[in-house]
Amino acid sequence: MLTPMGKGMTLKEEALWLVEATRYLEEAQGVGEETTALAAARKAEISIEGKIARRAEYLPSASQLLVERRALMRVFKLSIAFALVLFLVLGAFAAGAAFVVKDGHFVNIYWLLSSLLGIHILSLIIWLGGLAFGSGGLLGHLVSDISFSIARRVNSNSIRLAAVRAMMKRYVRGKGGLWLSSALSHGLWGAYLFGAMVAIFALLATQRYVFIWETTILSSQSYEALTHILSALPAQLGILVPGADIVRASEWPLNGDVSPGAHLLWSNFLFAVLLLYGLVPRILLCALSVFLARRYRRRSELDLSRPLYARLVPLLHPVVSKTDIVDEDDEGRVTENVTAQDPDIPVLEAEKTALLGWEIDKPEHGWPPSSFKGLDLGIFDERAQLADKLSQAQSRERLVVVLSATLSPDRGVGAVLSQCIQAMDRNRVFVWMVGAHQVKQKYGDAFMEARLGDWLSTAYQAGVSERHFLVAEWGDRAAQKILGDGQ
Amino acid sequence: MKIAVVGHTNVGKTSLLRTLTRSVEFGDVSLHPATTRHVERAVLAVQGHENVALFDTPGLEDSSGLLAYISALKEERGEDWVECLSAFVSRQDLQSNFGQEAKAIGQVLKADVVLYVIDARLKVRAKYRDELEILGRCARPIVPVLNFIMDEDSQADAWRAQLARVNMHAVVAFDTVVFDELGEMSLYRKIATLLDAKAPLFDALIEELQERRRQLKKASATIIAEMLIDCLMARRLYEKEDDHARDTAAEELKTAVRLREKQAVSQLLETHMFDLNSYIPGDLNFADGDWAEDPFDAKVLERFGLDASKAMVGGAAAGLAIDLMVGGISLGAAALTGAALGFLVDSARRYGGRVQEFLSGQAVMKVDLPTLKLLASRESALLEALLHRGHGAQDPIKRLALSKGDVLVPLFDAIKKLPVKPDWSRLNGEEGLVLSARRRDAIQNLAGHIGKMISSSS
Repeated sequence: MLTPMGKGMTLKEEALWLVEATRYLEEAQGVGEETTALAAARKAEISIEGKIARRAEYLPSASQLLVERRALMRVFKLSIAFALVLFLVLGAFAAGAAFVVKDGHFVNIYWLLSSLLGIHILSLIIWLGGLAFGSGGLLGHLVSDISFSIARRVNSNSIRLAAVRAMMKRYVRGKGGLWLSSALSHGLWGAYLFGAMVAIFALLATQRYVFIWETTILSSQSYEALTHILSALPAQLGILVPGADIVRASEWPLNGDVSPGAHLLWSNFLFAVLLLYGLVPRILLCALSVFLARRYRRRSELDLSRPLYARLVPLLHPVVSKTDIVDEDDEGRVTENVTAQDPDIPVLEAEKTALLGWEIDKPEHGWPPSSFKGLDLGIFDERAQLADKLSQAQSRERLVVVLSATLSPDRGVGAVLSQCIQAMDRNRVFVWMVGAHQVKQKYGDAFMEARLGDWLSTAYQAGVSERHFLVAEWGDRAAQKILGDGQ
Repeated sequence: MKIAVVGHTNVGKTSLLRTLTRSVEFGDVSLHPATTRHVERAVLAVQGHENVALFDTPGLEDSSGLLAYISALKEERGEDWVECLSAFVSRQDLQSNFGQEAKAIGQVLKADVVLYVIDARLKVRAKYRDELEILGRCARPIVPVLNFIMDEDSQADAWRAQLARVNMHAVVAFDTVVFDELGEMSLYRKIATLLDAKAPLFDALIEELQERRRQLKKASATIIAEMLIDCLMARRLYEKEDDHARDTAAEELKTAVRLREKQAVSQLLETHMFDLNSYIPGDLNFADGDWAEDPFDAKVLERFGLDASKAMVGGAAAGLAIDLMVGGISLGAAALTGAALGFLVDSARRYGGRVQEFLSGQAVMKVDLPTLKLLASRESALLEALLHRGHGAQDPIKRLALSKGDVLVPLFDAIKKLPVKPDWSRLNGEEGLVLSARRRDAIQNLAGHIGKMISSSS
């Protein structure tokens, strides 16, 4: 598989973002013919993801995209800061509004708590439900589609659009996006609650309130029990909270003697509940969400099955990683260039010719050609038989070696021809190439010319005269001449 | 893991390496014998495993001479075969005039496994038997590879019989010119069976190559789909009743489409690691988009066998079963000469009339379906040709067999369902509007159909 990322090699957030943004840009604009970036990335000995990222960095679009990213990040951070301040102020105002004061000094503590924490707890429940049942994907898609169409209407610059898309991909969509939006909502709620607490502190610091509770249909015991339950955690932490007698005494209309310290205990209770059931859980959840968002983002590797990457893989990461020459040719063999000459074949009596077929196929009309009257040495391809055949040929004036142009020449044939020349003498050896027509038909003129050229130089290097080199098919007139039957 | 590639001269050793490494640049390939004079290495990096190094060697040219020489040397030195061969390759003074063979034998002795390349077009002859004898004496596992088996002259059976006689049964048929995915796999599988301990390495290599091929098909289909979307959504506006404006718009649109197809072709070639320049004759100036063959010339159309009057509307019986018989025109030209684009003008007029009511005073010109069909089938045909082309192949592709009309039906059903979105086309000059996710989905959808077309016909 091509997917695994090299061990210990993780791409930085910005690099991954750039890769995504570049992908969006290239999916839209097409892949540019940017060879410098490609070459730089191919050279790097890193994972394929690393190479894709390296290429993205080297593309001319990278700097523009990163400028866009910085701008978008700035907008993003500013918006978050603005929203935090807004929620802080909202919280403060909400706290002020929740301070419903009765008869000048009396504040209903449970009314105050439920109006400050009620929606907060409801939203927590919805959030938990969303985690358990819903997928963040849908919301993410919605948000990213809306932002994209806004961006598209505002500005049709493709760099910016690609940047926006990449932002959405990295920060809004998927699991990471889900946790990031969770972090955001917890943060905003935290700001809201913090604002509320600040406002309450200011009010309590500057005014004298008496905390009371009242009910029409519930029993007093239920309030005592509720206070007891809510106080359990603060009490554990050592915060002084109202005891059962104070709770009973604080029922409106005041039915008991409220001790002078009761308002302080109630204030403790109010802050402790807001802090422990409001602000602290939100801050903890916010931190957890940020952590999870980061983790998911880090984990989201490049999806190499995307067609665009599929196109880059063979270019960046070729099947062959390296080529080199390990054993150089030190002989530097030179092939002598011989130009083809008209064959010069003297007329000879038929009986004075010996005919030898080397590595050829038996001709259609039989071997030897019917007009041949000389010594037939046969067709063969085994070197061991050669010496014996050549000793027979020595009784004749001329040795004609028939070779096939359908094969390519090699030093083996060269050695055979050399041996013939040693046995006979240069002037008595002739080479007759058959099959050129067949080669021409199958591979064309140029190929045939090249092939015959190779044969000529092989023969020449073996010592055969370039004028003793005949190209002719079976039954050609020129062939009659070489067979010693020529007129 | 070292794999030595040996064989007689001019049997396609370097071509085999090119095909296995998907590289048209490896080594030197020519029709002359003894082109490769040195030993060249190509390293395949297999993720998570050791590398596989393939060694291209000079051809064994005079094996009969060498066999006689080594036999004599062996007698003289009183050593066994492997000792004698080792001395032969390491000492230049013992190499006589067999320096080239010594290089090849040297790699054989060092290799874990040997690929013996055979030109299956050739008859089994004494010199090849001598080669096999020498290689057998090297005591390395040998996998004979029959090259050119797709050739009409192939004598694969005679070769198999001969190889069986020298106890080589794990023969692989692998044509370096006509690429066969299964052939490549069986090549590595046979190596793996000879080297049992290395099976996981070759399994990983095979898996990686298969994955690459899947990705390659997907990427190629996407390239074609992108081109189709761009052409499908391309629009040009012109003043109604103004013939000159209409002709200008038509010319502009034709040029844009032509260039877009050309772009797709170079993307395909690049993705498949084929060198564009090897297939384009010099007189066709590719870089300038200037083609010797004018696709709008009636005579050219006629020569390509395209009857413009019987436009391929509805994919009639013959449909698109047109072979571009282009003797002498190579791959690039055949693929790029926009023969079908001749339909463009007429159809554009037809569509223009239909849409112009919607716009006051202006008419819209777009590319019609028959043209798109030809673009689709021509590029698919090119893709298919590329998928079955070995990187060792030298001749240009001379003929693209266009797919039949009915193969295109699912693709064009999908195309007809697409919404009209001029801003999806890069040919409309409005930069930046093509980033929509729906466009991307549409491209993926079309690419899926193209992928199916390719796999169903091959």
